[in-house]
Amino acid sequence: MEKKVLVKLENVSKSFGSVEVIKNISLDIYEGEFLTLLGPSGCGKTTILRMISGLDDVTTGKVYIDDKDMTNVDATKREVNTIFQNLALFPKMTTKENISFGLKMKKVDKAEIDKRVDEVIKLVKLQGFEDRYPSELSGGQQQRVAIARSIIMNPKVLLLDESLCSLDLKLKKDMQIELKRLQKKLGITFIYVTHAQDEALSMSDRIAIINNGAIEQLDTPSNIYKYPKTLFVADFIGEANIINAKVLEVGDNEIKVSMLQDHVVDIKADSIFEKNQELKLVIRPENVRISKNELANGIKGSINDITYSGDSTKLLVNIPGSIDIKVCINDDNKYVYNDEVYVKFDSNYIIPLRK
Amino acid sequence: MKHKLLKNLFILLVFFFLYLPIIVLIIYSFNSSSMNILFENFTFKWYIELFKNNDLIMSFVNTLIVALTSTIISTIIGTISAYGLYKFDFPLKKLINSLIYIPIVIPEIVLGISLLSIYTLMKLELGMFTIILSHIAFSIPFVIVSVRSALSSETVYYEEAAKDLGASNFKIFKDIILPVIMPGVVSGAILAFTLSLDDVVISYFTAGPGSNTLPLYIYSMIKTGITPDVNALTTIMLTITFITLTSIAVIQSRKIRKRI
Repeated sequence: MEKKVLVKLENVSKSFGSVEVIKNISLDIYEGEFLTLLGPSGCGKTTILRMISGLDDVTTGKVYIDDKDMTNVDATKREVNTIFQNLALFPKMTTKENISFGLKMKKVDKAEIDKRVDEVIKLVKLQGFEDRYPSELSGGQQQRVAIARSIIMNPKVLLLDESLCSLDLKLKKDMQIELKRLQKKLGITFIYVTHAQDEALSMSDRIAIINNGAIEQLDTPSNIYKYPKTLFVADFIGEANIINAKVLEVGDNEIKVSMLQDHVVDIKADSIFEKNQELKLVIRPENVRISKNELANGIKGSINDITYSGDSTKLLVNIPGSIDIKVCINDDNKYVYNDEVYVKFDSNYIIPLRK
Repeated sequence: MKHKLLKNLFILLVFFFLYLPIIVLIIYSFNSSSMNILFENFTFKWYIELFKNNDLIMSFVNTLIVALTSTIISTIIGTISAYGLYKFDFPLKKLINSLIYIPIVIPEIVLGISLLSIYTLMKLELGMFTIILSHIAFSIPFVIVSVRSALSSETVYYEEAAKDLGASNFKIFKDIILPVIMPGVVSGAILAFTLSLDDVVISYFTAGPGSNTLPLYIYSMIKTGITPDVNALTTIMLTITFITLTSIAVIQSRKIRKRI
């Protein structure tokens, strides 16, 4: 079945004064999907969201929602709702008043409002807190009021602007699961903005990596992690060893490169490289093999740093005369500081990228 | 221990200094002697006398009319101005923002003379209308400053959230912004009311025949001597103010307790 495009950005640019913050972005967002806009702060991801909600105008380009041109339609008339970074719950209104506000503005009749408010309150598990003011709710409860206030409007698209940032780790994990559950249950398209890559990876159907006002890569979380297309993506998502290398020979679907002081490896290469071209190799720390015993074609080094983080241990291996290699292993206690080790890169996991 | 004793003594002295004149005034309103020097016997006669003094009553009524109308109008104008100055960007905004403070810092006498010359220039007949107009003029900046302090960057977020939920600009102001800035509006209104209530200088320049306000009436008595019925009137005013303020405080603390 062909997926329906619900939100379409067509050659959208946005300038504040003379500064261009969004540079000619085109993006299709499908019905019912969970799309994350991920990027460092100041990359323009929130601006993209605000142009979809209508709180910011586009400078050039078009915004379509459900096949209708919404470029010049006011935010109040778009079937899109936002959960703001700071939640922006109305402080002088109770939970119930906050949640029913949007329906009141739409002049829905009172009995209908009451019915829907009850439903939504049950959905986000806020029973018993109907008459409390935002200041009397915990962070997680406030979050749920904000979610309820938006989803009661039955929006076609729900925009979430770094909505979980302010929560502590435990609550954040709970809310992530809850959001995902709600999204599947309601079938609403979610567009989520965040700078936290773990949130993006765990929640999204697709991730758009934004950098400097442009989309660097748009793909599923696992593809983005496994096959980063640019150095920025490789570096931004997860941990990565980025190693300088030079092409020695070019073959069919394979190139021979030299790296880390004349260490030669064969790697698969989809894109075309030329002989003697300088390039960068990306290797994830968990794909580096490490051993105390000599490995065939391995590189000798010594343990420079050990960071234990519960489920895994991160090692930093110093290669004499070269950079430090990050290695991630599952068992601890095996290595101590200054141990002599051998590391080896599996050629299947080396991602070559142009400089 | 000794430290605490000194602290309490200090507070006591401050309050003593602040409230002694008022206490004296209240006591002398029950003094049978017509001179505010010696206390002779306890009496209610000045309270009775007060209601016979038509000039005094008239000036008091005038004062209330002036204070109430100017407070209502200046609070409305000031609140809308503060919101507009906060929300919209326009040329010379910075200049206008600083111009607001000029009527606050300018000597009242200068404001009084300038208002008088403008009314003369416009051939406006001096009276209640010109007094009210003047009081509105000098109250607005105080309301603006008070309301502006209640508008924070948070307000922008509330506005956007309301807009996102489909609220019109009028609804946003009425349902979202106004409740948030209400403390600023109320304190601005109280400020405007009290400023108007005891204004002598500006009223002196802009009053006409038949529009004597209470402060002007009392001020004019200085030449002939202040009669104790003024003491009685101020005591009544004090009592009313005291009751109003206490009930506001009680209502508010009940509201807070209810929320908890």
